[in-house]
Amino acid sequence: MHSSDSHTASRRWEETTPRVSGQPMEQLPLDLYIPADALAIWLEQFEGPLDLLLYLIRKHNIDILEIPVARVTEQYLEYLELMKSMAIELAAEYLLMAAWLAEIKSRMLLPPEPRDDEEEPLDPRAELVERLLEYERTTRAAGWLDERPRGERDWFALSVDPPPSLPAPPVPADLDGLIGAMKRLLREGSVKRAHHVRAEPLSIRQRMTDILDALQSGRTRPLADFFRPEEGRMGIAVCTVAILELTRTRAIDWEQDEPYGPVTLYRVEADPVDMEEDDA
Amino acid sequence: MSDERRTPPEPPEGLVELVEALLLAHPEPLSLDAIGGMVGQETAQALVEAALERLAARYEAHRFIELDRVTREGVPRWRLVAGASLAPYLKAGDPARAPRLTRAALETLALIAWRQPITRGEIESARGVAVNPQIIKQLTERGWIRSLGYRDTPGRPEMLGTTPAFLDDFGLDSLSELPDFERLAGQDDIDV
Repeated sequence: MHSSDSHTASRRWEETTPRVSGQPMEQLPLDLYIPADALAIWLEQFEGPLDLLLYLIRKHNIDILEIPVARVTEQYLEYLELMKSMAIELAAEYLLMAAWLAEIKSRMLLPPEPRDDEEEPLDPRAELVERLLEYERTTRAAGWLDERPRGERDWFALSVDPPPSLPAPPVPADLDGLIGAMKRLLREGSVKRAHHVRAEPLSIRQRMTDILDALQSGRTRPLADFFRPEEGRMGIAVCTVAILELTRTRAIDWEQDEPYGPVTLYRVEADPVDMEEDDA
Repeated sequence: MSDERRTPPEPPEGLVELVEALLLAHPEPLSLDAIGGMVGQETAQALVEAALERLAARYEAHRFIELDRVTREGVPRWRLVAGASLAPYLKAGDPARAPRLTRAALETLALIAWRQPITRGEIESARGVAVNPQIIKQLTERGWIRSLGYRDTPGRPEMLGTTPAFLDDFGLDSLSELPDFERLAGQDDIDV
């Protein structure tokens, strides 16, 4: 499974494989010999062109960073033909991918642009590789989620609703005790928040969601509200990055009436009047 | 669980049953403090803990129900749950119960969880296919995703994110418990 091994393996494969009418005669997919109905079901289960492409790459043990584009394109088109012949309605994305592969293939044939001393010429496959890796991460993330014990599938929260007509069950609890516990819970909650902050991008994502929540339904909030001193420097950094990222993607905006004056954040869709004075 | 050197205090008569009933009567998992606040301040926390231990031992013998300990907002909490062994029986009674998630739905949910706030366009670009509106509807109905507003870019795309119910159903205390997305790609692909 080491990339260097599979790399050389794929090279060797290309050199030694007999060619039939210019196409490498690879071992035909074994799936070809399964009954047509089953084949159709199997072909339909691909989640799109990236999924199909990733399947071909994994199946032939191809190093994803060294994709033999010509060969993979042939195989990809073979599968498209197969799907068409089984009357599977092909989504437009499959054809788009075929065109993209053809474009990459033709750019691979051109000599690379003269390289600078240090920089490697841009590989025409780079974007494809990035998309494939991103998709693979997505499938693994999905698998990770699926394996977790899930409520309503692997466990079921039990709770008994007291009949609404009956008075509250006689629980020996005094009001002071309840209020005391409530206060402690609240206090606990505010202290524990600090533990959410870690130097990883996910807590930034969490904070972005929190900020969007706080700015819901036309509310504006002063910038200072979002910084929690108890979170320390890391908290401020996370908060700043979250606000900058939200601003960059035009999810929120801010205004400031005077230099060094207080900054107010708002959600862009919430305040259409202010959008005209976007003169920055 | 607890220190073996000193024997846990004996919970007073009826406390184990009371704690059990409280856990059942509350839809949310309860912390020690929350239980303590309900049974009365005069009951020492150690006694509540002892009662929980008794309860756990009692349910150990139960094939379908267990005392579950989860962490919410960094605080341990308890609840009674029925385990996976009950699922086939529930399903037999109601085949439509908790329909299976398709791969497309799981991948969409994963992108929303890891990449929120994310737009449909970004999901489409990551998966290479159009987003099926039924999937967004299904995930919204399960209470796992929600709208986080709209981006002020052409088309004003909607931003999607996860809900607290998503964290709860997947047993997560917070989003930071999700593994690092960048490390999810095959290790053999990036060791060059």
